[in-house]
Amino acid sequence: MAGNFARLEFSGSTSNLGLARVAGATFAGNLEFTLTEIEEIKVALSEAVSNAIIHGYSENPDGVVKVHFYEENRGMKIIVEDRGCGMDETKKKESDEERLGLGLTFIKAFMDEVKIDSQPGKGTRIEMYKRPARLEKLAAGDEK
Amino acid sequence: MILKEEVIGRSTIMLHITGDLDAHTADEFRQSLATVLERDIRKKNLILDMKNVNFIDSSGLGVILGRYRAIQMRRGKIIITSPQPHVKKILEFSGITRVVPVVSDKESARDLLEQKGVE
Repeated sequence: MAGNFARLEFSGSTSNLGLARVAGATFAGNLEFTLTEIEEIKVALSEAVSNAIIHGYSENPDGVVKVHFYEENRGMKIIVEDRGCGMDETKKKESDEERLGLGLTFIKAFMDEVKIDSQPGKGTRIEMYKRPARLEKLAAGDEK
Repeated sequence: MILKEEVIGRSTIMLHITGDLDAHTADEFRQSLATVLERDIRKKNLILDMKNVNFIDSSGLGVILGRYRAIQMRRGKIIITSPQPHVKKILEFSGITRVVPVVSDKESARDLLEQKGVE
């Protein structure tokens, strides 16, 4: 039986950042994450969506950002997609300076797995996965 | 995002911030800090009260650090007070606390400024 999922589509406007975070937090709240882990998910999600809006679409509200949430193996998979300009190595460096280059750092620190697929002119897809730490500890205990 | 100003002593402005500090509010936050600092060049210290900040990410951090140099050139200090635990965690993780101290309240911020001899 497929796990729970939710999909959001919204315009490339930063006014939708709060919406994305609330949706992600609510979805995560149905799983076994602690409040701290949910806050980490909100930051990672906010960074990924900000990247899509600011760098993918240069804050063009005609752009569409898609966010998918999936329950997977009692954890949460998040996919953030845009069809914007994609990551160009040169531009990535300039944009990192504005936000201190921390966006991706936060995503990688707060999520257990991160996959980024980006091609100039074709857009960017960030896939992130996090599993409640409590379940990892239980699994480790079972293996002993 | 809502900002409320409080003047403290001769050289310090305290900003009480309510809301989220993200890419959506970054421009407004940046402009507000610039306005506050440009209005009076004698005000060289900035205390940011984050008690009512519910969320911060790299966009919000970038705005704070963006003012750091301007404050430094006035030989002043930026101090953050009362962040909620999850906000404090982001501040610490980012490393911004190495240059922007985080204290528990306004009195602690004032004590720190006096110790530094900048109040």
